[in-house]
Amino acid sequence: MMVDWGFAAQIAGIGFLTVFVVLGILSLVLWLVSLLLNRVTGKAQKAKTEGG
Amino acid sequence: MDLFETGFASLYWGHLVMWLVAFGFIYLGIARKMEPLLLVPIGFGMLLANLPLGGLFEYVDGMPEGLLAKIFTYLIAGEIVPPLIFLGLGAMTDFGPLIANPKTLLLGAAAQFGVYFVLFIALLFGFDIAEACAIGIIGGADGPTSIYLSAKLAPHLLGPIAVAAYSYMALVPIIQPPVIRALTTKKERAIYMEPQLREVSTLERILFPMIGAMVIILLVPKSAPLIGMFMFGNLLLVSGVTDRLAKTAGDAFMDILTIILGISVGASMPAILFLKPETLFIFFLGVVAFAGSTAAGTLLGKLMNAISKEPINPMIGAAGVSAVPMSARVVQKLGQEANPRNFLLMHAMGPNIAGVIGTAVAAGVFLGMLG
Repeated sequence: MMVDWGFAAQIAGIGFLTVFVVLGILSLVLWLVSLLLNRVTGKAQKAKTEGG
Repeated sequence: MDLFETGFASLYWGHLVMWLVAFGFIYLGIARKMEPLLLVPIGFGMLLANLPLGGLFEYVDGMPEGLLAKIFTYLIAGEIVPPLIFLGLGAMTDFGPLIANPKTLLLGAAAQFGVYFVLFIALLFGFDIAEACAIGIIGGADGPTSIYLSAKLAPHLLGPIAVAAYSYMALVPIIQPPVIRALTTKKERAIYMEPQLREVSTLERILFPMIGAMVIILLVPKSAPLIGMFMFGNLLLVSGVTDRLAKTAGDAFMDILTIILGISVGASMPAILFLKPETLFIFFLGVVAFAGSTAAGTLLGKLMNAISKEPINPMIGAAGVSAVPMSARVVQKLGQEANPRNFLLMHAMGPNIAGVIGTAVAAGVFLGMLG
């Protein structure tokens, strides 16, 4: 059976890269969300302390 | 009763070999307590399938006739049980360590290396590209994903792939330590990490399954059945208002699915299908994939330790294979052996869960390109 090594390399290369990109983007989004939430909750807490 | 009406008349040496394999699985599960919830049903299913004339795994004109053949065809190969297992897994999974340290997602990505490495080796062994992808995914160490992908790409190899994936998941404590030891020094294994991760708020936990599902499914739509169910299960767990559903999904529902999956996957291994050279190749390739994934995760762990301000024990990268929580436990054990002060379990859980997501994404990419 003839193996299309070019196609195999494409699947493996694109596949592995995609896994990295997807998990990398998710990692970045999670980091941004936690940063944003910390800012918002930090500000709210600060306002509460100053107000109280 | 005439002897020739009994199963004895139809016995051949292959059945006896399969009985030994089945006894081996049951022995490992009961006596050695290695993944008993999986190995005992798989072993018993294998035994039942190799008792001639029982007909439990019988097909007539390509249609399933026996009880276990029907369960296997409609629920397992029909791609119903694997995504539902992801629902149960999601309902049992604490994403806290991953949310607290999102960069561990990259370790989960690196630990998919074995999947792609073995894809090439499988091609060399004469498998076609779809079969090679289905075999490679064993390296992700995720049983449901392996079954889901092979049902789509190489249904005729589903039995051996499923048995290989689940067997190797149970054998993680044997396969991983030599690879980790070979790639790390004792000094690296002893690297101390603060046991406490940052506290993750309830809001972050609730947002994660929604954000995770949106990001991953938008980027890799074919991963939707697995990732969608995984994230939904997790939302049930963290929402705080669906405790009953989360408890059912993670306990009783998961147990039912495990019984169905275990016994029917075991039954998919009649001697005539199992005792073939290609099955042995699949088992060999599976262990290579596992070892390759462990190695790649560990090596990225080393790299991250070299460039990170905070020390990172490279062994946590090995937990990027998604055998949850076995590989995290292996890392914890090796970490404590090297440095009794070390408590790496929570650090290893991040890459471990990332590995589950990574394998589902890898499967989704394969389906997108070949499906």
